Amino acid sequence: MADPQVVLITGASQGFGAATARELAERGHTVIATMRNPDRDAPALVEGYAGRISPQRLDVTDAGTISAAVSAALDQHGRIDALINNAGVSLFGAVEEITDAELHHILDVNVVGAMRVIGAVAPSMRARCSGKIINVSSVAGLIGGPAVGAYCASKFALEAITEALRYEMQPWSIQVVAVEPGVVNTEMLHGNLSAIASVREGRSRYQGPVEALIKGLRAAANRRQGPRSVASQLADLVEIAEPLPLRVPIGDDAIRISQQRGLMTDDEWEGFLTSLRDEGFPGSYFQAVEEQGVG
Amino acid sequence: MEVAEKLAPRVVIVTGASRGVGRETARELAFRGHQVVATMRNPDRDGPAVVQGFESHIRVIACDITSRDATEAAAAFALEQHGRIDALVNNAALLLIGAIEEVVDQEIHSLFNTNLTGQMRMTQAVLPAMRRQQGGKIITVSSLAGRIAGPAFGSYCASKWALEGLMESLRYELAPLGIEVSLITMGAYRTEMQFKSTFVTQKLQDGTSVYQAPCEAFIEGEKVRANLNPGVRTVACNIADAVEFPDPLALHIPVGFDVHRVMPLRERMSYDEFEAMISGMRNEGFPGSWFGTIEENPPVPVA
Repeated sequence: MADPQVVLITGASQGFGAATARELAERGHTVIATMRNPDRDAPALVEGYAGRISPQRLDVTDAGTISAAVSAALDQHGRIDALINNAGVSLFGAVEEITDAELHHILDVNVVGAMRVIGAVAPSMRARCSGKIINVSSVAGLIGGPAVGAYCASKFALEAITEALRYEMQPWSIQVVAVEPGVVNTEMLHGNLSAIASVREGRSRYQGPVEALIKGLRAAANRRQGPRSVASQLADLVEIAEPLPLRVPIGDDAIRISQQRGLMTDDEWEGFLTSLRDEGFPGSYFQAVEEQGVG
Repeated sequence: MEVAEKLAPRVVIVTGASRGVGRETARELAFRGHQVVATMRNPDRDGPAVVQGFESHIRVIACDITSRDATEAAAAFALEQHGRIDALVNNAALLLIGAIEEVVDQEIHSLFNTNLTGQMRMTQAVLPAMRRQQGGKIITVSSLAGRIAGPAFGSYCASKWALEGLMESLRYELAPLGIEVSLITMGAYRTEMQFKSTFVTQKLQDGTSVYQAPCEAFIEGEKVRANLNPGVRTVACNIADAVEFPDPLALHIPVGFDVHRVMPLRERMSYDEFEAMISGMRNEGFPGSWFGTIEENPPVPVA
């Protein structure tokens, strides 16, 4: 059995983050579960795991909270064996109508947020010539799709960060990996879904298809598995003694997409994707375009 | 037998046209008889050399793609001059060198504000016209760094990967409107980016980077290699071809011998194999100069 590891995970209030924090705790590891609002969200997370999950306030857009949380973790535990960059936000809407502020915000959380935490944790990992950095990307980091351009841009960027960081961290034996979950039934798809202003205000030229896509994605998520397998595989990555791969797709859809995308030409892939008329992503979008038109 | 009518002149906006790929593309399009609106930050300084010899085919306008007003003004100028916009060539971009661990917020935001948000702004500015025309082409200059990533320029790779994700998504959104979206995967050419649009992180400027030696080797290697590479004529010709092609554009248009060599490997190898190949390189430029330096100066654990 793996030695107990000290793991810092961001975005642990719900979804993948919360499930992973619990999974790691159940396996005997020490978890620093960070979130923006521990007063509100920590009690539910920690219940039953007192002593093994320590909640910390951390907002990935706020460098001060990051250095405070990382210092506190190092003071208390002496090291951070693994960092799981999980905090992320979604954004739905056509690229044509995304505002500068909307794009900057999702990048600030999903990309720069991860980089900030990496910058805060890496020196201690370099000092020990050991550590793992696990970035929670998405299947949207492998392929683009309609109505999710900003989210894809942020996850594509996170994939590049992961790949570049692998080479940079090699000399210190620090391992870096990205995981790509597909559609999973988590709070991200059910709570207050972030849509761009034009969609929220009902004035988008793409209103019908974007709404159909969101509805379809929720319906699909309802029938899909919860975050437990993602959590379990993230915990595996923390424990595995062998070298970690660059990418780990998680879920039947993500595994299939990553394999097929790799084998198909651009044209074949696009032809395949645009022919989909399923209820979820992206079939619901294309179906709505077919029925209602767009623009 | 009737011969099909010759290709009609196109109206094309080219951003970042002051030098490098942008200037060469603007001039190549003009040479082929198209009408070009060449945007740049400083037309007084850089415009004359771009326009020279093509006074009736290239119009220059000041445009900083970090400003929404400026991108909208550039699109309005093209419409006012020519009544339509057939193609947009998103070319303006910056290069940032520095290890991911040491890039600060301001540096990455500024990089993304040009390389990603800037391209989005300019694209959004031309869409109303293309929508009215029920057609148009959005051609974005990306690079091999948008398909693979490497040490010392991870944030640049991130900005190009993000651009790839954004444009791939946009392609699906605009297909029903008859507007095409395509990315140029550009390989190693002697552009002026290596010399004039390269920024390095503050840490590197201060000489206090943990990655100082390999990053400096990388920068030196890039300059050495840039001087050996062919100029950007081929890139410009490929972009001009893409503007003219009557058939649907592919998502990616590879340009450069290294792209043709690397992308098939990337697609056919496992990541482990690919990474081992890259890490094993000891060439003078990218990425061998990085790995060679690390090998010669093994890093010491430093907190």
